[in-house]
Amino acid sequence: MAGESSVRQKGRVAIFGHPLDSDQVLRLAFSSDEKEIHRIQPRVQINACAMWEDVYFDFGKAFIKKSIKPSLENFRTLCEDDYPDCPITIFGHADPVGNIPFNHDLSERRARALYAMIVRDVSAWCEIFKTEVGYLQRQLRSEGVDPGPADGIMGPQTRGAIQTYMDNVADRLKLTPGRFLGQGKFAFQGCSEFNPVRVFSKAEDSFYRQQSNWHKRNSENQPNRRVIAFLLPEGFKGTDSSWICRTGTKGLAICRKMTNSSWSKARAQLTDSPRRHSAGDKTFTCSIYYDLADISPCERTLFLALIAIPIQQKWSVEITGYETMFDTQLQKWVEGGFFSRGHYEYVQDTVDILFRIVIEFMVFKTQASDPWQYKEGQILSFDLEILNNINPKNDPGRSFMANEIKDIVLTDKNCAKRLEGCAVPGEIVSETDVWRLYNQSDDYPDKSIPKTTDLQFRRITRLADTAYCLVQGQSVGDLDKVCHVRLSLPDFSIPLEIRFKVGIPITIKERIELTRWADDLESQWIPLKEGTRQFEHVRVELLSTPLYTEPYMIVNYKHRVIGPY
Amino acid sequence: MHRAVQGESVPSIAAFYGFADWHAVWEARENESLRKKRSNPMILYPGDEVSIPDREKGSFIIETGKLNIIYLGKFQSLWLRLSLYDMDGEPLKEGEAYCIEFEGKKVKGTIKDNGLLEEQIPCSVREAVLTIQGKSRKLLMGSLDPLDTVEGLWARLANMGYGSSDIRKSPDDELESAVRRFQIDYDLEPDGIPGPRTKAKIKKVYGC
Repeated sequence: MAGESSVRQKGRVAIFGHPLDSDQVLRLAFSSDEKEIHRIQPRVQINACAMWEDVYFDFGKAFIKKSIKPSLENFRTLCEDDYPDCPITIFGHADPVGNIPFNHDLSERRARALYAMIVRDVSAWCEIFKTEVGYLQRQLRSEGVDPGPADGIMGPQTRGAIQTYMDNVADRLKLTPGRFLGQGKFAFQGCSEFNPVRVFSKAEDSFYRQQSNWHKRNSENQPNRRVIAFLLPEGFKGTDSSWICRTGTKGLAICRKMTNSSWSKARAQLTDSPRRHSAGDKTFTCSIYYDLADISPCERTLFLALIAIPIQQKWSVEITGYETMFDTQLQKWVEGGFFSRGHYEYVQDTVDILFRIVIEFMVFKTQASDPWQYKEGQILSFDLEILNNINPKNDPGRSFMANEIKDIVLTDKNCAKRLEGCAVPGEIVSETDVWRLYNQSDDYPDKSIPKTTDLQFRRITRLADTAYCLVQGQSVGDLDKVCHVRLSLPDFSIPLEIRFKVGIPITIKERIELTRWADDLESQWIPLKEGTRQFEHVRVELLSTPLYTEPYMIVNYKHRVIGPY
Repeated sequence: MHRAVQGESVPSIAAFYGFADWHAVWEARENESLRKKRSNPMILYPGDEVSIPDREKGSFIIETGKLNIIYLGKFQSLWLRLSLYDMDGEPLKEGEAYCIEFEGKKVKGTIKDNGLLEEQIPCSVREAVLTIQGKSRKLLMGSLDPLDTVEGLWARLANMGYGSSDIRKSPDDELESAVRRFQIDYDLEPDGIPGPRTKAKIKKVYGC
């Protein structure tokens, strides 16, 4: 579909803050004698992470493509502005295709290649590519840097080209080895295929063993091929005894030891159904990595949901509880005419909800049948609430809504109930969950707004792959009404940002086509025309607070909706 | 007979029943089986039955015509002894300041040699907050279960930095992973199973 391939090529990096030492509890007993002293040591935890998908590397190779550049700038902000004193370590992961030593080597080389690029270690690249210098030379050339003749010799011209390439791609991201864990000693490690995020079912595995299916296999395995950087707490030095991963110094033997138990083997086994880490399945077979990264958003999240809010009215999704962080952005959007500054500042006070996403404009209109194709992905679980009719006198911070948006239809808090499915906020929403929104606003005059609306959230794909599902069961209605829907989640306080963009389909002769799609997500608005069946450009902002205790969330990239034709 | 709940210890139970000296409860003949089962009076498991012997009547000789002051039993203070390490396994430095808050009171102190934090806390305190180096941690006094229980094993490992202090959905998995990490660090066979050697080592390293 239009634009899909370009979205894919951009690839994606997800960057998150982590819950810090969320287990603050120490269970203790009084000391019965002088010698009875309890040993207390904090757990090695992650402050933040960043994940790079396989798309930045060639299949089976460690060469980093230039397309990684924008994500490195994001990573730079994470490392220099957000977590300036946190030591960094990089993990590479491979998919199960190929043998373990090969994958260990590949995953380590990828992690090392990234590390080397960041610290401008040209010799490291010389070593990484020493058996494929010709390949390296060709890649450099195709990425716009001249390594001299492609003679397969690592000479000064080639080295120079590597340096230039690193400078071009990493640009302002330039760190010293001292910024990495153990002063660089534990800067990178490869996990081979021990910690996949997606495991095939038995049937899939047999299917993919056939050579004719290898192409699809490689594409299905893509999520497993990833490189993740973890930022560890300030002050953590990372020594031979304190850094929990020892593969960097002791090699594959230690990994084999860590994965050679019934625990690990059970996790490595193929079962009748496919397994996904993002769905809560246990796929990591290394205890060390499991302990460190199981709850890492970089590994688990995948993304946001859905805001599949169809319906008749315009919906705003508000997830409150976060501090405002969009002052500068707000200016741009204010010009678009829909928000005032006061709104954001006010919501800091809200403590019961986790974070706020505000979507301007209406999200969707749908048809009776689900017009959108969807793929698998993960949805954050949340409770839905529809906010009350805002009375500016009682709720001065929200007055903008009354001012800016007409015909607000809001209902009482807690008016959305989950009819089936898991009941605990924070758990993964499943496809069978049905949420019902209750319109309990008696003083709203327009009776055409239904008393209840059913919403169903579908799993969506990783955003780079596009496609949303719309909630089923919605009817086409008029687009003038605005509603605010509040999402609540477990405590969460990472500074995050989400920007959504939704394509606007225009129905022409009963066929839905994608209409205008702006490349610049944040600042472009597509005004809704009265009477036309269109999707609006949706802007979603996520505000964050420091009270984070649960690990789910995603962010920092843009989505788009692509409908089937 | 008192059935212990989480957070209670023999001293706190004794004090609750008005005993000035908790040894009277712990060493009572009726509690012999309790003593055999739980060698440490500070570490009970929810459901443990503690016999409360009869209290001796106290008698006082008082003078008429004067104001006599009689002190009833009060909650004893017990020792909290922690050896605090940083994430790298280095003990905190001597002189590092800390603050412990409980029941509205704040106790300030400094770390002694080898990361040692020693403070007296009333035995009735169940929850306290320790703040040190800008970070706060919640202390649940009396909530450490005996080492021969899963919860006790888990709590000790978590306190030492192996695994989260919340037993999540699949405790077996998480426990095995935490045990294996401990075993690797202390040169034991990393099978993830808390056998007698592993437990003994945990007791030795953790302290109780």
